[in-house]
Amino acid sequence: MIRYYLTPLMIASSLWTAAASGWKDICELTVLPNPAGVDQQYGALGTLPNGDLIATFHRGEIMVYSQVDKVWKKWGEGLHEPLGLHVENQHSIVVVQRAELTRITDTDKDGKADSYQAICNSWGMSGNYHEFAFGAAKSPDGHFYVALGTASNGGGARPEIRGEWSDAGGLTHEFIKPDWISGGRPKMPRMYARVPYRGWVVKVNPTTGEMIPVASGLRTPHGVHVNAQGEVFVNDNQGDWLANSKLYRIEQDKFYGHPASLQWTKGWDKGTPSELPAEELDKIRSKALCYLPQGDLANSPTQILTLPKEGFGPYGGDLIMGEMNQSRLVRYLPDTVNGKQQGAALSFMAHPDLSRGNAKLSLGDDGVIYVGKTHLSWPGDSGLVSLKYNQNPHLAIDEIALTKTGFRITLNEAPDATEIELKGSRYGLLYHQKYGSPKMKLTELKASSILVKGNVIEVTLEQSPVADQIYDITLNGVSSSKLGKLIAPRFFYTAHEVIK
Amino acid sequence: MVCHQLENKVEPIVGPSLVEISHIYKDNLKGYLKWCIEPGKKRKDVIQMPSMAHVGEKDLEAIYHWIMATTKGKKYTPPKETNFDPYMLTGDATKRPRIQRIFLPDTSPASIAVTIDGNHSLCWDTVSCRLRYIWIGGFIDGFPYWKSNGSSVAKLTGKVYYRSLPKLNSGFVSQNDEEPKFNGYNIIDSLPVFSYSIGSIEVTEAIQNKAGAITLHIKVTNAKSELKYQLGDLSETNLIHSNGRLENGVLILTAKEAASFKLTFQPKKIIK
Repeated sequence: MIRYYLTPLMIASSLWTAAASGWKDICELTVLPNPAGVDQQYGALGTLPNGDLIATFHRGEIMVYSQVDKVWKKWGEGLHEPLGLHVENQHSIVVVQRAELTRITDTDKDGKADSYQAICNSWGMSGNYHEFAFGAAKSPDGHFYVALGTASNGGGARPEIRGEWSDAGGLTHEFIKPDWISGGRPKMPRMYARVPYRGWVVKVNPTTGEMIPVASGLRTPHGVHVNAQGEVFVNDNQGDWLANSKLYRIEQDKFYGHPASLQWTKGWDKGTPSELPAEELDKIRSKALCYLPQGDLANSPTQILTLPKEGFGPYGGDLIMGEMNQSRLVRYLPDTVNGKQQGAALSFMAHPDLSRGNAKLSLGDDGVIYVGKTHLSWPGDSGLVSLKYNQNPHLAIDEIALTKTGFRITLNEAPDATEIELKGSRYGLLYHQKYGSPKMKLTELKASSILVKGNVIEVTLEQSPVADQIYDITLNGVSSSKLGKLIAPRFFYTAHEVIK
Repeated sequence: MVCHQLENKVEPIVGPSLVEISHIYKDNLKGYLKWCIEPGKKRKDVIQMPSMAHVGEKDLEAIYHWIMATTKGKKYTPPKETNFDPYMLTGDATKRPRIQRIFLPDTSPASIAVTIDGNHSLCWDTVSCRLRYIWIGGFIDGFPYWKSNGSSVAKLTGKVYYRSLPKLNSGFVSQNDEEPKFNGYNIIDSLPVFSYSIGSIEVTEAIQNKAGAITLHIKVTNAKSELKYQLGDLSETNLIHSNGRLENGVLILTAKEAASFKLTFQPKKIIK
């Protein structure tokens, strides 16, 4: 650990007392009531035009929470694992459930949904428990984006399926010996996509219902988001072929790394995709915007959204996402190197009482994020909380840019009284069929200088940045007499590229 | 919160206790490492551990030896199993009409369970767009699915007395060379009116309660010729059809008759 005294040490603790010292001082957490008699695992969450919340639940209920009366009322029911919703207006929502993208409407406006119209049900279902459908993210051009989870060999497939079964590599439907009761199919790949278009992101024409395959290579893509510019963001969950969870920007016809879905590429003739050499797959995969390091930041990222420009202080306009296993949300900061986007991820709104299971997010008014929790028998929780950004001024990272020699970290205010310690490491990850990855060639980082110029911290590393590494960096001792210490001083930068 | 307590004596319990880990993996370092790296779903009702692959085998091995040393001399006692649905409906709530999409046995994974009164129920398949079976004596027990993540199908409460034939593209076998397309449903009197199309014909099937019997009120538009609706095993079923003629288990309807006809089902015997 190296210390650099760049300015005379100034103790200004009397000024720091009003400043935020942690997320508890920046966001107010409120535990909200849950509907009675309902399994409180939230499948999807939205905010109606009048400010009321609308939520779907594990057992298929749709409930509305009145912000005025503070009570829940049942609006609809009977859905099958609804995991995403888009609010169309006060009386209509679009929900993605296992089997379908469904428009649900209260046509007579009596407070109860009475119309459940299938917009699209064109994707395949083997009946495997892991074939979740995520999304219902609406793009500016009106399409709905849906991401289709792959099946797990921890469970079987059903004798009756929906859609064509792919025999690629000789793994026929008969081979799996349809038997719902017994799980464990060691001969099947860890995760598989034997019905269309598992492991793909698809978009659905809202008028015709046509399903258009967009991109392949996903495993369990929980977060699906389209921003105002029409950029599509999807995250994926650590597992086989995924060393860590990742955040992607999805582009048409690209392949993002988990091979199972490749068999639904037109003209596929290479057998079972997961049996292809990793080197061959590596050549055709598009890389993530950033990794979300397992254990250190996020084990299972969830819904993504863009914060509004107003109401969230230095975080306005940022991309954030939920996280199942850890008591935090996650924030993404983009960078562009050699014309390619990559970036950093860091902890966000990690209120000490937030707990786990942060699956579904919905924006309310005045800097409020509602967080619906679930677990579905994985690590998580249940219930509903709100996190209100309270405008308490604090020192935060605005931007992280890779430089030829290290990193340029821009803060929202100039730090002073600075005694900075850089603690960190870099490592690589394996792209392979196995589950996860150890940190490869873990190397301690040392800074040769840390200079502060205005609100920019310029870190020069002893060894210039290396490509295909994750940089895990914590900046200790960054503070401002006005704003206190730096909140979220640890970041994880994915350096696919280094400056040439 | 901790994931692994020494003996799981404090709620909430997340993972196996260290004593249980010691019990399971004593003298099995290889199995322990495999579990840590790729935990998978070990128990239906308990959340699974996230992968610890990032820790690295060397450190995981060190943790293994620490667990074995820490738990030495402690005996593992298995917890008592519970299988109680805390959200199970009771009283009048069980008697109202309900519609529930869930994994069901003996049908496609995209099927819908409907009960007209909590006692008389049916399964309607959105893939072949048809009635698959009818049972009496209750509705569904969804807890096998709901207590976890969908790795089990719901159980039917009661006895199935009518089953349609398997492996049909649709109920209308006269149109069997065309795939039906499910369009959704509207709710009228708390029960669904399913809507689908097969080629150029449009169909609605309203599920209705006729004094405890299940009625399908089927309306077909754009039919240009005779339609054939395939029925299933009627050996335990009293079937009343409002239109058409029944020949060898097939209801034959003119286009006019198919425009609006009813099928009413009741079990032949009172089944308790």
